[in-house]
This record gives sequence, C-alpha cells and structure tokens, in this order.
Amino acid sequence: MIEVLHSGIYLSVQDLGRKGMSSFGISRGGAMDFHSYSLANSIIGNDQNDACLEITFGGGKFLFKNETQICLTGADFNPMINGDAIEMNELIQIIEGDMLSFGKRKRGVYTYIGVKGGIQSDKLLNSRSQCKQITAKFRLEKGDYISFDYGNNVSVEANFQLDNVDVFDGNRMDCYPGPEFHLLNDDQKRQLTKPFRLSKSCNRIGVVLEEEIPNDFPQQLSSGVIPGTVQLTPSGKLIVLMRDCQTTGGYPRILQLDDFSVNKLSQKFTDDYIRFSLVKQNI
Amino acid sequence: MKNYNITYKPFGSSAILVEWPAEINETILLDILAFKDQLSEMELEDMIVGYCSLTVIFLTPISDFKKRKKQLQHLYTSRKAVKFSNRKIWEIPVFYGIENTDLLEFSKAKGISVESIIEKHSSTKYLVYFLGFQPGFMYLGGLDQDLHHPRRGNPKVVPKGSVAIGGSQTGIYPFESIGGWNVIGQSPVQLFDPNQDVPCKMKSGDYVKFVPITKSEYDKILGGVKLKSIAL
Repeated sequence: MIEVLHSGIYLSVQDLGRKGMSSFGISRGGAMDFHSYSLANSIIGNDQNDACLEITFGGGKFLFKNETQICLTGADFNPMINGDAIEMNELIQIIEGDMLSFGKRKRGVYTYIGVKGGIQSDKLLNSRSQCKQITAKFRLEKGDYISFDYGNNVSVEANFQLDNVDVFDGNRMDCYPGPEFHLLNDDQKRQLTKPFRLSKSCNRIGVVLEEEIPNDFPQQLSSGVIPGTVQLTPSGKLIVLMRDCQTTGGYPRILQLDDFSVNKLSQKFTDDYIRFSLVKQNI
Repeated sequence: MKNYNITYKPFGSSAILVEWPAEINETILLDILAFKDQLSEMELEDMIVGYCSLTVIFLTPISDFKKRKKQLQHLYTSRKAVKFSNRKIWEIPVFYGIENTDLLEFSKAKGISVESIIEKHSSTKYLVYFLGFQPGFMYLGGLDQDLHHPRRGNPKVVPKGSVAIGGSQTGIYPFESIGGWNVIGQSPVQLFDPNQDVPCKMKSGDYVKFVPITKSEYDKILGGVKLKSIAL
C-alpha cells in the first residue's frame, strides 16, 4: 500500500486508457505523456498497460507501507526518499516506511510513478485511468490508499520496445495537415510557422494557445477528433486537443500532431513556446 | 445499395477520415453505420461516427496510405445494409416544467404556448446520429422547425438530466454542464452508467421519443421504488 500524504494539485491513476469506446462518447484518455509513462513500466519490467500514478506539476508526498521497487519518469521535480535526492528514470528500491516527496521544478509538467506490478485500483471499462464523468473519483486525495501488487510480476525485462527519444527535446511539434488544412490561405499558413505560446488554459482536455489566426471559416458538421487535433476557433484561437478530449467537434481541424508530439506538448507549461513543423505525408 | 462518392483523407499518422457528402440525413448515417459494421472485422483502435464522417483509427501508424485506402474502398463496396432488427426506439420520460427551466421564457420568445411546445417536442421520433460532447450525450436529429431557437447569449449551469434545445438541435445532458441551450424539462433516467459493460444503451441509428410525465412520476423514477412505512 501507498498512503497519499499530499496529492499536489492533481494526482491520478493512469494507464493506456480506454480504446474503442467512442461510440459511447468516451474518449480514450490515459496517461498524458504515454512515452514517460511507458518508460517507467519498461524500467521496472512491468507490462506496458500497468497503471502508474500521474502527478501534475509536482508536489505530492507518499508513504510506502510495503517494500517494492519504483521508477520516476517524466517531469523532474527533484524527487527525494526520506529527504535524500533520488534519480529520475532509474529503478529505486523502496523499503517499508519510506517517504517519497518532491522539491523544486526542474522541467516538465507530468511525473509518473511506476510501481513494480502496477497500481491495482479498480478497473472500469477495461482501464484504471481516472477520468471525469467516467470514474467515481477523477483524482486521488490526501488520505487515499493505493494498492500495488508486489511479487506478482517477476520479469525484469520489459516485454515491449520503446523508441529512444526525449520528450524534453526542444519545442518542435511535428504535425500533419489536418482534414481542414485546405481552408487556410497562404497568409494563414505563414502565420502557422510562427512560434505559439501556451496560455493559462492547459489541462488534460486541451491546450489553448495565445497567438490568434484570424479567419472566417464556417463551423463544420461535428466529426471525429483525437488527441493532437489542432482546432481553429472562430475567434482565431488554436486549441490542441489532449488525452481527455471529446470524441467529436465542429471546429476546423487544421493540423494533427503526431503522437510523440502530444507527449512532448503535455510536458510544456503556460508561457512556453512551441513551433509547428509540418511533416510530409506519403499519400 | 447506392454507393456514395466518399473521400478518404489521412488524419495524423494512424487514422483515416472517411467523408460522405456534407448533409445531415438518415440515408447517409445508415451508410456510415453499414460501413462501420463491415470494418468491425479489422483490428482497430476505434471508429468515430460523425454526422457525415467516419474516423477510422488504426492500432499502429499507417505505413502505406494508398494500400490502406484501397482496403477500405474494397470493404465499402462489400458492405451490407444495417438490419432494422438491430435498431431500437427508446422512450425517455421527461418532466416538462416551468420551474428551474427556460420553458416559460422560450414559450414567450417563440410565441408558442407551453402545452404546444411539449406536444411538438414529445410527438417526434428523433434519430440518434452519434454520441459525443459528453459520455452518453446523443446528437439527435428531427427537431420540429417551430422549436428551433438560438442558444442563450449567457451560458449557465445546465443540470444533469436536462432536456434542452439549442439552435436546430435537441438533447439530454447526462452530466451537469455549462452551456447556452434552452432547458425545457428534466429526465429522471440515468442515460449513462460506466459501471455497465455497455455504459449507454442508445446507439447511432436508434430512435428516441420523449414521453411527458408528471412531477410525481418524475420523483418516483428518480428515487426508485421505495418501501412504504407507516408510523405505529
């Protein structure tokens, strides 16, 4: 068991989310940064879909009631065990009574705590991911106990492959032209090559960007949207949809981020700049 | 079956957006659903139905778009019509009330009596196009033209279970939300239950009919059936 002594601003259990549920209006959800989440499981030797804890913007204090092994990935907020600094992206041995806490922010937004055997919270619709409107509680709070399954999973080598890439490498967001990219005129396309700054509105649902692209595009008949879809609103604002986004939308979809860039973007914060980089698609 | 002139567009690295002519009608919806049924033999991450589109999401990135497109085109031509026996009409009880709703304001603005609004709203069979916006939220088609009404200028909290009208659309909110739709009633039934394997029974292609109920019927359904007890 792990006792949550402090939850920070938003602490939740996440895995790879719920696939194939869009016919009920349920989005896939899951870890905001799939790459860092998977890295934690791979270092521990867990299955790829074993649930991790996702900490939003640091904070959080945890008391381990049993021995286990953990790994911290994603955002670096100077993690400590019993006050002593520990490394990110390394297997850490935990003994009963150990306390995990965090310090100042070095980089990133979402930190993952992978635990040997995975977090064993209740599954709902085939996933442990907490999500508003789906799970009874959408986040963990102070005083909550989290169970994990030590000893059930003895493999030390991950049974899945991860690309050797860095989610903190630069501000370039690789993307494809979206289904309504053709609506943009040359000037609007030029504006897309400028840097965009993240506004205060960034959460699990979407990231709103500050710079605007004036347009008089008509609303579309509602159609599918997925994480990484960049919508251009009538007011000119760009919204990049993230993991907990709706399944359909009516704003023109001008760009589509590749999945790795969705992970990268999730680790950016208000006032950070990003740049869209169009990838040539082989069609 | 009539073959529509449908288009295939890449949508990111792992999805293809299939689009029908941009019209809202039942024939197109049924064609989308027939195609979707045909695609269910493939291993996919998901398929998202829109008014006139189907977003096909593959489990892995598409390495050869042309090949994938050909495969989809082939499956489109071999699709079979959606069976009528698989489609249902759902009766959804609604308490149309003037308390805590916009019904009176709506009636005044439209110049139609409250009774007539209820009559018009509950005498139509609405087609479920797809679910989206919120888990369990149905995009319904078929609202009487007389009841079309713009959204409110000042969005406010719309309680769970609200039956509302926004523009040419009507719908029920499975969750509390902030929105500009005009609330005309409340339904006591739980439309969405994530604890069930099938969290929402209504699906694309089904119909929904609203059945007016009284306040006491509303309370009864909301509270479930309670045992009566009388003090000794």
